[in-house]
Amino acid sequence: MIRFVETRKVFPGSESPALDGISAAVKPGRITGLVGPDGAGKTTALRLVAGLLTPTSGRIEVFGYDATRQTREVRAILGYMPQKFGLYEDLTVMENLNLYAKLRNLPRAQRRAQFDKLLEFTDLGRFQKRLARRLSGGMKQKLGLACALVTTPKLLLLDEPGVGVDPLSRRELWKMVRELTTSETVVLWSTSYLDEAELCDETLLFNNGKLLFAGAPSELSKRMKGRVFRVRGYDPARKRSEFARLSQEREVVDVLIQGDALRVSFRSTLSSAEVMRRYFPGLAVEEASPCFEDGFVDALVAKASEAKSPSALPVAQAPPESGSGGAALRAFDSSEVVVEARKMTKRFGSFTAASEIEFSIRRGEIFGLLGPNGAGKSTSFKMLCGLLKPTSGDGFVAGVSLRKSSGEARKRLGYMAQKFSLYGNLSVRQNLDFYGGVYGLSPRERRDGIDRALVEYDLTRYADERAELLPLGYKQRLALASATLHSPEALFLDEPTSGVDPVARREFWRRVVAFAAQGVAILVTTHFMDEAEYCDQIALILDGRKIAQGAPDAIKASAKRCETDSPTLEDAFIQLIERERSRTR
Amino acid sequence: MFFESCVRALMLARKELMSIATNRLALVSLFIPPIMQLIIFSFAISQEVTNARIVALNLDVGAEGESLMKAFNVRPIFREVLRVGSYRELDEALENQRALAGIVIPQDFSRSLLDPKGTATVQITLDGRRANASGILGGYISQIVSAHKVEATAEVSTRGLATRRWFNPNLVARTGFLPGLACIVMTSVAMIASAPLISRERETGTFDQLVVSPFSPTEIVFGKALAGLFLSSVAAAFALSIIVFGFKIPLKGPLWLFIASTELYLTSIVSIGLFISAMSTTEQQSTLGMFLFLPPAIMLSGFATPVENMPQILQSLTVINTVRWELVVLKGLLIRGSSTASILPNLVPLTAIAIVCVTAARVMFKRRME
Amino acid sequence: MRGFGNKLERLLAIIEKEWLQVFRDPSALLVAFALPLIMLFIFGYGLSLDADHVKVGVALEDRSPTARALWIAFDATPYLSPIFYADRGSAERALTDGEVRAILVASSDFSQQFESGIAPTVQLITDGSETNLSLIIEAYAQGVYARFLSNQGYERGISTSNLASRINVETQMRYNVSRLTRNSITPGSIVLILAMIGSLLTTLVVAREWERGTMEATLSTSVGKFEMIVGKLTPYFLLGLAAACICALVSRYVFGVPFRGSIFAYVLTSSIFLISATSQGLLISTVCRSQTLSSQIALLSSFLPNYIFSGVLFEIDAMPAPIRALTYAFPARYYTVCLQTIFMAGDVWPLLLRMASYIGLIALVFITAMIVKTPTRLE
Repeated sequence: MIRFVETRKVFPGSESPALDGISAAVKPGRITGLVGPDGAGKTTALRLVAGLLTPTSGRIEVFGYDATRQTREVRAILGYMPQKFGLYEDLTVMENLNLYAKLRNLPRAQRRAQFDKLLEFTDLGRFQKRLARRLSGGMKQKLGLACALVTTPKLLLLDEPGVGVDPLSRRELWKMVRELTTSETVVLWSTSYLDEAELCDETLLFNNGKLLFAGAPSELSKRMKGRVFRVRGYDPARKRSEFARLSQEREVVDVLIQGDALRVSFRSTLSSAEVMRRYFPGLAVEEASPCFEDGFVDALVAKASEAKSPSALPVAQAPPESGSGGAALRAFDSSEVVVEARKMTKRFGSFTAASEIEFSIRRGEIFGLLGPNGAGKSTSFKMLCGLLKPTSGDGFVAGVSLRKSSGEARKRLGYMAQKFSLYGNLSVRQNLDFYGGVYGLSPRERRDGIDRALVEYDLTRYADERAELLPLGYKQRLALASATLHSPEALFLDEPTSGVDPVARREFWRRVVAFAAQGVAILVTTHFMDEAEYCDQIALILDGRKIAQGAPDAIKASAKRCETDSPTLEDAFIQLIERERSRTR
Repeated sequence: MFFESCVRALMLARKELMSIATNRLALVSLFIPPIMQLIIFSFAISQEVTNARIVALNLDVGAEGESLMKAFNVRPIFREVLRVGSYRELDEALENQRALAGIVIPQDFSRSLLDPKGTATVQITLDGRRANASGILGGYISQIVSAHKVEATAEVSTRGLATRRWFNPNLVARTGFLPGLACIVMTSVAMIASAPLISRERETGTFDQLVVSPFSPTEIVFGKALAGLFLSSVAAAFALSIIVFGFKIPLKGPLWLFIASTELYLTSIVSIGLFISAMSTTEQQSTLGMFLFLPPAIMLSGFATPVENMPQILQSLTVINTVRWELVVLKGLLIRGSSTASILPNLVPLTAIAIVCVTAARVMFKRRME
Repeated sequence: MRGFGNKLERLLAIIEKEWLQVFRDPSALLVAFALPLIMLFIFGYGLSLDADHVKVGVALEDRSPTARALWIAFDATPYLSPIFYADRGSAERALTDGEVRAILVASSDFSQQFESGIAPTVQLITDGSETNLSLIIEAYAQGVYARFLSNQGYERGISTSNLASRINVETQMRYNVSRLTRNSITPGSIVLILAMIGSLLTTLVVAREWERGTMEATLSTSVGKFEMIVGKLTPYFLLGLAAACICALVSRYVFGVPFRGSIFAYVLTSSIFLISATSQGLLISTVCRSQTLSSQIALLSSFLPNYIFSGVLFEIDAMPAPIRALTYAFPARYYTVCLQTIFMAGDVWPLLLRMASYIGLIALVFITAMIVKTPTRLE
């Protein structure tokens, strides 16, 4: 078991502590989630336990050892999976396993049996000789876990193992951890995915280095009973403006788009009749069962309004009036197609990564591209934004062919990559200025645009800070601001919220929704099913083909097994994939 | 259309410069070490032989041997004359490199010289491990020995070969090597500044963002080249000012030609750097490319050993070595004061290499996009 | 005992991993094997301090038979390639423009003056910007001119000092009777090659692990400093040793450099030198934690300093005192002595051991610094 005793960690050069006097106990035989937004102190806590960092004050006991002074003893019982999985990319699956088995001194006699067991669980038996570099994200993650579990450690530390991995792989990971650990094992699992946190037996909720909550996840959601409601019956055109209005409502803690419905949580307990009367006259309101995420957002907002710290406030902050150009809502023709994929096919040698992908995105529409890792989702995405040349077929942006005049087409789109492609050693202002210049804005337009963006994205106080020093959420804002400075007609977002905490994600989506409201066509890839709910249309890509397309609610409905079944989008996603796979096999 | 392209290329160049300018460590490590090397090495470089240690075995019983020993008190050629008593000690001193050359004055040295018709023989043993240095030292020693006891009575011929040295009458090694060192400095900076330009964007993931924006490959290559050219021009200005003002080696050729040829040279190096960068998928590979290019290019440039000493095959290979041509240009303009007409032909290969490499970089860049 | 066994197992695991990585990454093999061969080839064939076919302009303003004989004398030597100029002015221009390295001027009254024997009649002007070459040309030209004089029937030649001396000089070049500078340059080039690849191979290995995030995973196991340092050095040390052996074979059998010492002495001194070179690279990598920066430092600290300070092409004794003092910090300087001795002189143990112990001392400094700098934690 692990005991944090008044543990405090301040990094040199930083004013605020990364961990601010944490005291908590972690019990064996259960999975304990370390939950919190970016920079909350999750990774620092794990590294302190592993003895990779030394606490500034306080201490940590690990199975009776002092994590700092008895590092050797702690490391002998430790299995640790760092954020990038810690794999050697140029070694094969088997070589990675072998290496960690030896580094952790697994007796030779036990190796064969242990490897067999791990390979079976990870389903990597077929890929023993494949280089780790060539594995998909999900497979890398499983291999990383296998390497950490190679000696059946008494202490297992997992640092955000689910980042950038599709829901199917994440489910398998949970199964592995559950089955490969014993009642003696202490498992610390850090995550910013709240659906994952909900699966934990215990959670430690961190924010700004402080422990906000410790206990079973259900306890946190229990606090929200009677405060969460689902509102249906919106006219689709009004849904988004309602969403924007509610986000600013004082009494509203959180509001989400879920397909055709809105999910709203309030500061205090209300009856559904009251909610309907006060906020949603004429609409269908039903009380929803609260989940961990509702409790999480509530806890953060409550803490933030109590501390009046501006950095934790984004949830309560106003969404942008407009994303770019400062113009008020423009009238636009919502039937006009802005982005179009026509039978786009990409082959790499004999391997077809994407086959005859077809879809179109109209003005003001949010289009989601979903699919497991390596299914051809990013290939399709890359072809549409001009990063890959299709083998056959063509893509159009604002009527301009990517094949014929790719440069002209690229001028009309904004692109935001997974890793927030910013120049880390340039300041926020310089980054914006560069992208403004690239898209041909005049110095004057650039100056005005930058000034506006700094205010809208609340980046003013970071204007002259190097981009690499920004907190992740701010990096994401800057990336979005850079991608939209030139008022593009289409916005391409490639896993735009990967690794970003739920609070920053909410705020991000509010901006995206605002762009759509102005008539920007938006293409987004994501692994988060709650984000897919924001889309007007989603397409599911598997094995290089589009296997389903429709509005989120329609997709959910198509996955219904019986009348009473109400599958979540994630269930639908997994079911559609399994159905497809069983058909092709 | 063309104007827009230029603006985008300029924006890119400006971005590269800003990202160097804001990173003090990168800025310092780009300029300071090469300039320091220029200064240190300009003092270090010398192929002459001075301060040498020699070992002497004087077996002579008479006074003449001792008087010859005194003749070796020539500074700065000799630092120390180590006297030994036996052949074994002499051999040992040579073997253990306590001396570069050994002198043996025979037992009958004085006696032979006393005889008016007699001649004496002195043995010199040189350390062949350092063939060049000891060879030169051997020449000095035999001159000293021969000059000893010269009787000026003999007929002095006037039919001699009068030798003069132009441009550097005292053969100061530094003067000869400074243009080469300056050339190495600007080459290193140009290479280090340009070789990671494309591969780094690949590694940090900004490459995709660049490709998705309205840049054409040509604009990207030109923008990057412009940045590399600017940085290396700054280094070149530093290095050449140190030579001209610090070491007082005056510029003899026309200034415009000096500037134009330097820029052309830097362009060629930057384009080679960009070609390496465009070929690489990781930063490590571009570093390696740099390592595979720089040392051979410097060694085969005529910097330390003349190009005409190389075998024909290598000499023809050096046609594509930009460093070689620049060295000719720099020495011509800085030291010899060569005519413009004789400098211009050296610029042809530089131009050709720049054009070929920029085109190749663009092609590689485009191919990597697909 | 059990603890030691575990340590050994971890060490072997790291060595095996690095070894596998080397063979997966063709660029490392390129550095270990292609770079040495290229450099050795350039050094062996390309760098020579002996001049050969040097272009010398001969301005013959006089067309007498004597002048023609002078031309023939210069044309006959393989070391110089004379180029004809009709007058002094054009020859001087050629020298200024760098077309020739020296000019020989016989003015229009050459034969007349020569016969009368009043004044020096032929003038040699060399290009002083090529300092070493200038000296060599002067020596060659003097020799050729002396031969010309004797052919013309003037027994007594050029050098006033040689003229009346009664002391003969017998010069013998020990270890290198044929006086080939290649014999000394080639061993020297091995020094530069091993210094470069030794530090280059290891410069990236630790920085890479930091950048790819594998360092964190390795640190979380029981791996200690010993395994970390020795495990990372060993494979690259062995690669360097393989490169050293290839270099020795090429020098001996392709360039015909004698190898008079023992293989044992070669391997021993090379090993010590490689330990120092690889630990220098590893230290750079450990301190920088960034591939870009460490490769920049490696490039700047390995090539040019070793090229200039090893004493192969440039004379350390002739450097000013502060810089001479600086050269003592470069192991290349001692290793050059070792290799030149092993190749040309044989196993001179007192000298070899002294040099090897200096290198060892420097290596020890690097290793100590590394022990201090090698992390067991992330901070």
